[in-house]
Amino acid sequence: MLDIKTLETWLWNAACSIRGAVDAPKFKDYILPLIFVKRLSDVFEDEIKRLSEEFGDGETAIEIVSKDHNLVRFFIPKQAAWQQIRKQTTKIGEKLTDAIRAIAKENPKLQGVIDIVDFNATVSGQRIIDDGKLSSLIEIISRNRLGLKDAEPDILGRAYEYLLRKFAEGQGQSAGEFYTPKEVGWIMAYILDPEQGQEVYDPACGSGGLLVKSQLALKEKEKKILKPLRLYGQEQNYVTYAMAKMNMIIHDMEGDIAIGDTLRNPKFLEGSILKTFDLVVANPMWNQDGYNSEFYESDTFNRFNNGYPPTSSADWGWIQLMFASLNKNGKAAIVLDTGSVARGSGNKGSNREKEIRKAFVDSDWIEAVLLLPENLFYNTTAPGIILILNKNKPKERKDRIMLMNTSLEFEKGRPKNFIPDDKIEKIAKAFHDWKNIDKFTRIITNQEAEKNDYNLSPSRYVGNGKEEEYRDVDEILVELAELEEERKKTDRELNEIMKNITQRGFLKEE
Amino acid sequence: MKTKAVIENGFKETEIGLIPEDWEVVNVDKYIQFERGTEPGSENYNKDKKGVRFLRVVDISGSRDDKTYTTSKKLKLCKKKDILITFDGSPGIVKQGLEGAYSSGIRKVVIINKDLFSDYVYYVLQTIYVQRTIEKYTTGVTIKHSSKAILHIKIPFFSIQEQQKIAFVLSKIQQAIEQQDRIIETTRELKKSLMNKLFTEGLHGEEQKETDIGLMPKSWDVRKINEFAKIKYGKQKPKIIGQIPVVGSSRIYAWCEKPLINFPTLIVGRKGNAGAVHLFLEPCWPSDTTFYLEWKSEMVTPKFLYYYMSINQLSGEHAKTTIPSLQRQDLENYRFPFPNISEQLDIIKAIDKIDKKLSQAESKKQTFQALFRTMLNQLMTGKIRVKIRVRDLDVEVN
Repeated sequence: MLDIKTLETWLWNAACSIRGAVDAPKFKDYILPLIFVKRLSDVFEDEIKRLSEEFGDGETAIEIVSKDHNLVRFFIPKQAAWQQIRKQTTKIGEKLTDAIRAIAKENPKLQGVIDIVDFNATVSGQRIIDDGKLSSLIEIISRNRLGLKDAEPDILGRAYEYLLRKFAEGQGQSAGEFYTPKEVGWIMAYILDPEQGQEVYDPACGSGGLLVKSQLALKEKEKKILKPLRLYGQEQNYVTYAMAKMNMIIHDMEGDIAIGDTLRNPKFLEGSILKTFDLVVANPMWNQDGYNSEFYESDTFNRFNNGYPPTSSADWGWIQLMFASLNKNGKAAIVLDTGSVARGSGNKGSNREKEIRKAFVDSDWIEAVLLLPENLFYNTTAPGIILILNKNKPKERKDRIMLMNTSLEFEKGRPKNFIPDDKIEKIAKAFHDWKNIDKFTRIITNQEAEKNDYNLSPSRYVGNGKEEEYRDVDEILVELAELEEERKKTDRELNEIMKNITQRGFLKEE
Repeated sequence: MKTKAVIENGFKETEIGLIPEDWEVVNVDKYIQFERGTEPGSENYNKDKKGVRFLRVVDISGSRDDKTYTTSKKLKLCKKKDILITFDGSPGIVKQGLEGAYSSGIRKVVIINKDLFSDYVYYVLQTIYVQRTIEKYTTGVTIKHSSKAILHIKIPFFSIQEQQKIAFVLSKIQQAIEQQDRIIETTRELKKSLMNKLFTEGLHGEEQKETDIGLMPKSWDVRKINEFAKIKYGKQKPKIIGQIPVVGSSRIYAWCEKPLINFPTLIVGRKGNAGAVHLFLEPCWPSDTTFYLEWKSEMVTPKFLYYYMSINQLSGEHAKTTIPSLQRQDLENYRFPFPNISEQLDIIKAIDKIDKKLSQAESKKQTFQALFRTMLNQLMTGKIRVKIRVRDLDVEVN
């Protein structure tokens, strides 16, 4: 059996063999499907070997399997088997692409997942990855078998996630991709504490890491899984969507992954209403702009009943969407920037985000807010928070919110900080124990939240000795953007009024 | 009793001045009761958010930021929608939107006539009609009292529909002012955070290093002021008055004829407001309560150092005397992050832009305030009448 370290080093070496040839954000799109295909091919070989014992010999087994693909996980046609791929010496890119398309053709589940990459692609007449580089990549990947007895799904899956993380670290994130650090995923999974057979949904699932971690957390806890979790995810970016599908298969998990913008076009419906779930997890894009009041107003799924977020940040659009996707006992864990729980509080006058937050506090839906350490996420040094919603809080937690300040619970790393395992446990335990811990957690009443003008920023309630003197610049900018948006609206209204009563306005006609 | 002569153009002369013929003048005490607050005594105050918020005159006038709370039981309470007006201390301030218990210097406005629209009352109490009367009946020198004015306040009175229209227009202007306020407040915060970010991260996305004055980009150095400048003592203010600013530890406090220095400098408070930093690019006279910098090198832009020092202020707290005072060697040994001159200039540029936005927002706010005062006067004297329906005014404009 391959251990995780060996797997990681090997896969990373493979990645490095084509690095430089391709733009950082792109090269993972080539290597991840290849590893995936290698796994499929090796597993298929193992399955044929097992079936040949049953049917007498290998040829018979293949013949029977060609007629009934259901006997194996995935059917790999002869010309697409890894050994065939490896044998090619000319036109490698072209043949590799053909082989992968042949696999997709035989396995509808893989269509749109593995066949989206063209290994023969060119940019201004130049191959993106030339045959020489491809050949050495294939050679490196061939060094180890990835069959059922060689690599456990969990271990292989973790190595796969490791690669995703490495790509994210190497500034390999393109716009709209926000790989969630695994520690954050574990904290969310341990806090939500999934139970057998529950349905889990991630409306911004990326490569599916948070869904996978829920399942793994359940496995850690239970001796025997009678009913695994049912996983549902939606992702907007089609490359990342493909990654999520592969991630599920490599982890040997069943997941229903849909593609599309969940705010505009949620895919999991029951008739015309939103499907609801036991647990919802997500790390949506922070402070996403581009969704205006008309968009929220025209929503037909009753998601934004507690107010329309400002155009400058869809944070509370995502939160409301996730809340609307919870069943009556549902719980959600959402990663967002710290501003989402603080913006607008303490300001004179109204603020849309604060008003929505007020509605959530007053309805007693917020169970906890955790402040994370800084420099954890790949696209920002900002700390981020985890917001925990619970539609049916246990009795002793009613009208109460736990605020946790984990900002010191990390170890320095390069380029990013990380949360070691013992601290992940400490954080999850503190949530479940539900006690005040000096400089770490504080349980407040909803009235206390009201007194603080619905500012739920944990550092406001739980000092850890490290004074935060400066608010994050991004956070202030989002707040300013909302103010400017509202100012413009008032300017236009006032201009109309002045024109009406004095025949003269102060804005230029557009 | 004055005779009410009918003036041309549909106006008439009244005890509060010219108003439209179809309006009336009424005594406010027939329409409004002013409910006086209570004083639970300062021993029942706390700052720890125990009990309810206790509103004092200083909370209404906005001259103090710290919030007081009280657990006393003998209280008069108000809600956010209630109008409050002060009659003691700084009489005549009208405020809405505060919640809690209110002190005896404050009255809650209770409207006892259904033909008076609450928002109209809020604005009419701010007019010169009311303010002048309050001023006229104010007694006391150090602590002012003017509750006697209540019996004499007169206001214009007309249909509730017209009251609503006037209140609507004024509230829109007020909303614009408040938004400008919040933009200013948030931009100030942005400036502070951005300055900190620039001084710790620089502009070029460099890797950072840890130094004993904090994180900074790898290519920067930690340097001391005395490597670049001599620290000089300011001099006593000259007697002859002129055009040159005399700068004390906290501000310009006089004008003199000849400058002490004629180069750009930083003036740092030595006594009084010890540690406060002022940037002067024009000739000036630093007074004897300050230090100023005389440059030995051009490697540091005064403004760069100024911005850094203004968010990392020195203080004279360790001084052995009772008055905090800054020692010369504190300033000589003051350490700051030092990038090359072109990065200094780029950083200054970024901060200057925020300053520009701030001053634009300030002047826009002042213009809206002027518009408010003018419109308050024009609308309440009937010189501008709002003819269209409120419903038509309240349009969503895109």
